[in-house]
Amino acid sequence: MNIESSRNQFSTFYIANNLYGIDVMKVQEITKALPMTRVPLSPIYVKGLINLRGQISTAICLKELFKISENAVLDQMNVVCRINDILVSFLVDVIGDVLELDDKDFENAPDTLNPTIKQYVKGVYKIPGKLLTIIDVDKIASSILEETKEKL
Amino acid sequence: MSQKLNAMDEALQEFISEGNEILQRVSEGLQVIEKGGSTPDLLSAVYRDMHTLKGTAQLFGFQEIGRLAHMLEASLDPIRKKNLLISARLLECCFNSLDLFAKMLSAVQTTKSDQGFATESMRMITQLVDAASAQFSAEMDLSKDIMPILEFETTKKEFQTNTLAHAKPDTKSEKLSLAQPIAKSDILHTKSTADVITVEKSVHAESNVKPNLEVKSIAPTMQENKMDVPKNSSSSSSPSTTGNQDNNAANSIEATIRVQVSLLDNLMNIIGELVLVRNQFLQYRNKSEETQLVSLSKNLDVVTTQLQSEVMKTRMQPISNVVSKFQRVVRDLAKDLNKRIDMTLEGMETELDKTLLEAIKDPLTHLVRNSCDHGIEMPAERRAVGKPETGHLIIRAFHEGGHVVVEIADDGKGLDSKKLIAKAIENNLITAEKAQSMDEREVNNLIFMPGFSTAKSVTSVSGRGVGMDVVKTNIEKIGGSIVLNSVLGKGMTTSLKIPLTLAIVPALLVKAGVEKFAIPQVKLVELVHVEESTSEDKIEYLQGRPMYRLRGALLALVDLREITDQKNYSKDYKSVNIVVLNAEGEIFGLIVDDILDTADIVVKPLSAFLKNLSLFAGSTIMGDGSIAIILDVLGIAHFGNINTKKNHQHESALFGNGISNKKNLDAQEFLLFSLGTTSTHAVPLCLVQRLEEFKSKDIEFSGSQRVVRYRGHLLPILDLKQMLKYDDKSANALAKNSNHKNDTNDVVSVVVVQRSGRSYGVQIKEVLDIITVECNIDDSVCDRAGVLGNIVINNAVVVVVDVLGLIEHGTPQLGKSKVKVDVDGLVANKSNLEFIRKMNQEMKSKKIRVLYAEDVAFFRKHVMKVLIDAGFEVTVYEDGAKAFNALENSIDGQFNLIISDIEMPNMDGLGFAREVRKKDRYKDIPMIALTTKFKQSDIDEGIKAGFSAYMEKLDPEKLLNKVGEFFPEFKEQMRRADA
Repeated sequence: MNIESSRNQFSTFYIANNLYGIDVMKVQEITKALPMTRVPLSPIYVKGLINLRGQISTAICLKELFKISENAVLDQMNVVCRINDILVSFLVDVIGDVLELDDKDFENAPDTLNPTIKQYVKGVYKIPGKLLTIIDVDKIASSILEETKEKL
Repeated sequence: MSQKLNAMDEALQEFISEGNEILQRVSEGLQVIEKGGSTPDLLSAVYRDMHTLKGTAQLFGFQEIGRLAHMLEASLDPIRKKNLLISARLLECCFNSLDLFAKMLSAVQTTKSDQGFATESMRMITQLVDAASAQFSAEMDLSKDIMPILEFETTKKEFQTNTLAHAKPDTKSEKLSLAQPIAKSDILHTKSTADVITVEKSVHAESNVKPNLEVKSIAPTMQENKMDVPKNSSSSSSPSTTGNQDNNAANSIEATIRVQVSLLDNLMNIIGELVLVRNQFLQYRNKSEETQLVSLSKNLDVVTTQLQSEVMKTRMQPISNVVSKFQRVVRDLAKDLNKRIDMTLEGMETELDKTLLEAIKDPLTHLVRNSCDHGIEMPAERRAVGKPETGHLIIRAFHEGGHVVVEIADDGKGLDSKKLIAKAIENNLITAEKAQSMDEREVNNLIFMPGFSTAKSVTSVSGRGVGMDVVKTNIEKIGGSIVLNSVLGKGMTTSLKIPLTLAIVPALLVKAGVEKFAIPQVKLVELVHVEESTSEDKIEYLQGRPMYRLRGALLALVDLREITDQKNYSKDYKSVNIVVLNAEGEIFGLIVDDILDTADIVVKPLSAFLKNLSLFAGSTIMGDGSIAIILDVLGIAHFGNINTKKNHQHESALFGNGISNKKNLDAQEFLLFSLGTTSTHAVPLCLVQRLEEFKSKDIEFSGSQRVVRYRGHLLPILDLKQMLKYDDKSANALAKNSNHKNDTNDVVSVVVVQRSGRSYGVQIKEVLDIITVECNIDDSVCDRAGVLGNIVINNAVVVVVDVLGLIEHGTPQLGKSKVKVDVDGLVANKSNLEFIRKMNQEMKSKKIRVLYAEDVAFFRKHVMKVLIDAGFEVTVYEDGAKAFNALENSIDGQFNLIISDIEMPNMDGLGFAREVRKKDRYKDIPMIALTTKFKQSDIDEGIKAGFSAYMEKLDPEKLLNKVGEFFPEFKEQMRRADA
């Protein structure tokens, strides 16, 4: 993890009452729940396709990806990212603020994290009152692609 | 004419853009050199650019530009070679030359001519020469390069004539007056130089004196100008009035710009989205009553539509971009091949999406080369058949029903069906009997088969055996189609039907559950709606898989709801929609809930995350903004385990025109049924007359024999399980329900078979299905009497029952027939092998000696037994070739009957029959084709080949009766034996 620049901005959101963040530079936009077209036979975390002003985005449910077993929240919000030219909407429960955080508050992911989630976690910011888990969207994309290739 | 003009215009535009690019580059280069940054590389670059400019200018006939560029090039050459410092004076001259080039290019832009600059360019050249010789006079010999200067005098003369052309218009015809504004604008460029004005004046003076001479000399110029006027009249007349030449020059540079195709794609996407927003807005407007809003929305509507069509155009390019290159190709080919070929292009302004244009380039090239090489004959050949020596090739492009059609027509020799067939058979692409049944279109389409080439030898042009199949594949890849139309001796026309754009595909929208799917229409064969009203028209099950009989052929069905993982769909196939699809030649049916509509859809690829879903080809955004997934027909076929390679017979059964490229094997149909025992049983379907269900209470007894009153006769009911002597105790649990005596409302399934003209009901537990298997009956394990052998279907063993044998041997009391049933009202031919054996003795003198050809061991054994039992002498061979060989080596009369299978290796039955019928000495030998499954068309084909009759393999009764028809003595004996 590079700690060159001292402050970074993160777009934050909640999944199952836990606070997560994605580097704001990776986020294209945040939208309310949009109509989704189910893709039969796709992995369980692929919730469908979303028409994002003429571009088709693949909706990935982070809750399913992280294998968090909690009742699904209806009308999840979309955090839309463009990762290596793939348009992805991450479905999250609640959108939080954009936070500007100091690198001194950053720590690598603790070893005790659930390995399913830990593989996608860049690290943790200690902010007043809570901990912010930073998600590595590139890692998510690459591991999904890997999985896709295996199936091919 | 018009496309020539277009092509010329386009090339000219390219020249001007390139020229301006060069000037820009050279100017930058010279500036660096001026600042002392001269390097050999830089000088070389400048020199090269000048060289390029010279070359292209001369190619287009712009003498002045060419001359000046040549001079500049020559002046720079010594500097480049010796890496000298360039003198300030020469440098200045270079810059001035560049300015002059720019002016000349801008004149070319409007007038297509640089001739108004002769004086100016001559003066520049003189300056250049002066400057250059001042710098290099001592060591350099520039005389060679200054040669053009010597032509100065001639040039001056030319120049005068040319200026004449421009200046004299007022006195001449209408055409000339068209040229006038251009001429004026030319002169505007050169206004600053006093020389020109003088010359102009003098010309005016001259023109009054010798008008006739001038008309002649200006003819070419006039022609050129006339062509340009319609396009340039507006642009050329406005500068002549305003005199704003700098502005005009600026315009010319920006007339074309290069843009990334991806940018255009993005633009297309955004426009698409705008259209959707517009649609939604219009819907909203309809609810509103505000007049202002209504009028605004109308404007929005119009502007959006315009925008959409303009953006669509950005990707479109005229087909001449590709096709005009063929002029050269054809010319060179004709020269190589010593042929005379004239090519005509029509409709070259027809526009196509750029990507499509790229995609059809190679196929078109191939077709053109083919026409030149194979189509058009040598001049002598053509003369001999009364055609003009010069062959004609026409490439024509036009719009037709949302497609662009490109036709390549030649007046050559066309396709020779006989040669095609011979070649196809030689290359093992089709069988001889297949060839017989093919119509002309099918024969012509043979050239699209992989590995087909009729060229007698491999030339540099074609004949490598690859090509037409690739052409076809490539055209089909872009959603197009290809049609051949050939008349032997008259020529051939190949039509390519190409969609306007690649991105838009016509598709059928279907519904499964609540979800919408799109199916590309190229894969669509037909739509079938099955309403289960009659017992004939319904979905049936084979091993639990749904099937439908489409015009007599079994159509495997795949349920879209099942493969797309729909929840709680009903498997009630009472009323279903079937979309019949073609997956690389394999036809199958897709069951959908609803067929919605057809639509032109824009294909968007699926995200990389979903690439592994082979079921889907992409996605598309529908008019209402929702997303529909596009089905991949091939993927579905694989998913449904439909073998796209194996089942070619199926297709031909459905459509009657399939060309099978594999060896046909014997296919035998079997009826699968269960007896309530552990194994599945089967009987050859050809023996089955009907399937019936009787209520238990309808079964009566005649003595101890169970019978049913059936169609006015008594039908004996035989319990197959008993006849096969299955141990009832071991299978008791399974067979409990089949016990007909216990429950009078119970239904008994009965297979009605016919033997010796009588019908017998064979009671079974349940009919499972009808299957077609390539015959591989294994008779190595027969655990009980009445079993023919086993076949393996889907890795399960099925017992094939010898029903006729069982009826014959197992129920002798019926064989003698107290209960005589005559369903068809035919005279019953009571034959019984016992009797036949007896009569053997009597017919020894006139013994029937059979030559039998059959490749499958099982049938060989089975049929031989029947024949030998009947007292025939049988010689058997495993294919037609061996059998024919034996016949050839036989003495006359050694064989008096030939029985042959149809599907055999080496020489099949049809080939065998044809060979036999060729020889006069065998003409009296009857030939019986013995096969498994046949249609009337097969019989016709067989009779044509020389067979006397067509019989089924597993029906010895009919076979022997048929033999009786040819051998009256045998028939008489049979009759007597029976009596």
